[in-house]
Amino acid sequence: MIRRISDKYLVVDPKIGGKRISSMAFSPSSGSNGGMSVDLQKLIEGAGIDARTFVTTPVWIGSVRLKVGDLRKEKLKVGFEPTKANQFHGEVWGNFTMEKKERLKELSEWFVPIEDVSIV
Amino acid sequence: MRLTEIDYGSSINSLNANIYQFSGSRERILLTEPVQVWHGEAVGQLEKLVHLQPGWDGYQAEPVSFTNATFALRMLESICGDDAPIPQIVPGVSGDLQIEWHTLQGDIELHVKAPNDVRAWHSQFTDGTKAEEIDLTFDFIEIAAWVKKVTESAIAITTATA
Repeated sequence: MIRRISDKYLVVDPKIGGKRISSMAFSPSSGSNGGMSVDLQKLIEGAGIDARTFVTTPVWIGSVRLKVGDLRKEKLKVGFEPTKANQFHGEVWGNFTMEKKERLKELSEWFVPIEDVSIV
Repeated sequence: MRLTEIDYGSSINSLNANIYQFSGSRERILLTEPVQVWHGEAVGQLEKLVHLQPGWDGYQAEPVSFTNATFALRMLESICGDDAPIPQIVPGVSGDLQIEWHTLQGDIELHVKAPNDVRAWHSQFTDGTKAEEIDLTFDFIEIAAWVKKVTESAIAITTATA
């Protein structure tokens, strides 16, 4: 599962001496059924499309990858929610406390790295 | 910096005003408002965020709403002293935003979901104050104390190393 990371989510942290990803990058949309948008890598590649190319088109954006199993261990639900713009779109639902968001960051690994930026 | 010219003898309301008195046929006192560096920076950041293009996150994110940006600035004005560190402001996907301070003393994050609907969090501070996460509506006295804590510590470090 891939989560795109816009440069708008980057913050400077003197404790690491550089930039890292804000907790907002792992926040859901508002609303009663709001979830966190993701791209489902298995579906993308199943359609014969290179996943890295897909998540960096039409605008180049960095991204991280998370395992669905790790999300479920964190009591989060993952579902397939295609949109008009993205047939491989999924969402993650659950209780996104600060502790949970920090945990998601720890579980993430770069998929399309942003140069000189740390995840945690 | 703005200048306010008043006649001698009028009451002075600004607690931190710099006061200059000029003698002459009519004595005048000029009040200069203290420079709040963080304020100009925050306004600049908010201006950019309310003008983000839809889909800025690669999905379906909206720009920060003007209502939330205005509320965020008013909240900052109520909780930040003149010497507060410059906050970093990060957009959410639904018109919301998050105000963040990351310092050597600790981290503060204020998620403005809507006016008077703020989730506030701070990490453990270096003075041992444990991390906490609270929901706020109208009363921001508690987070003003958090900001003061990181401000005073930052000033102490700057003074010590000067």
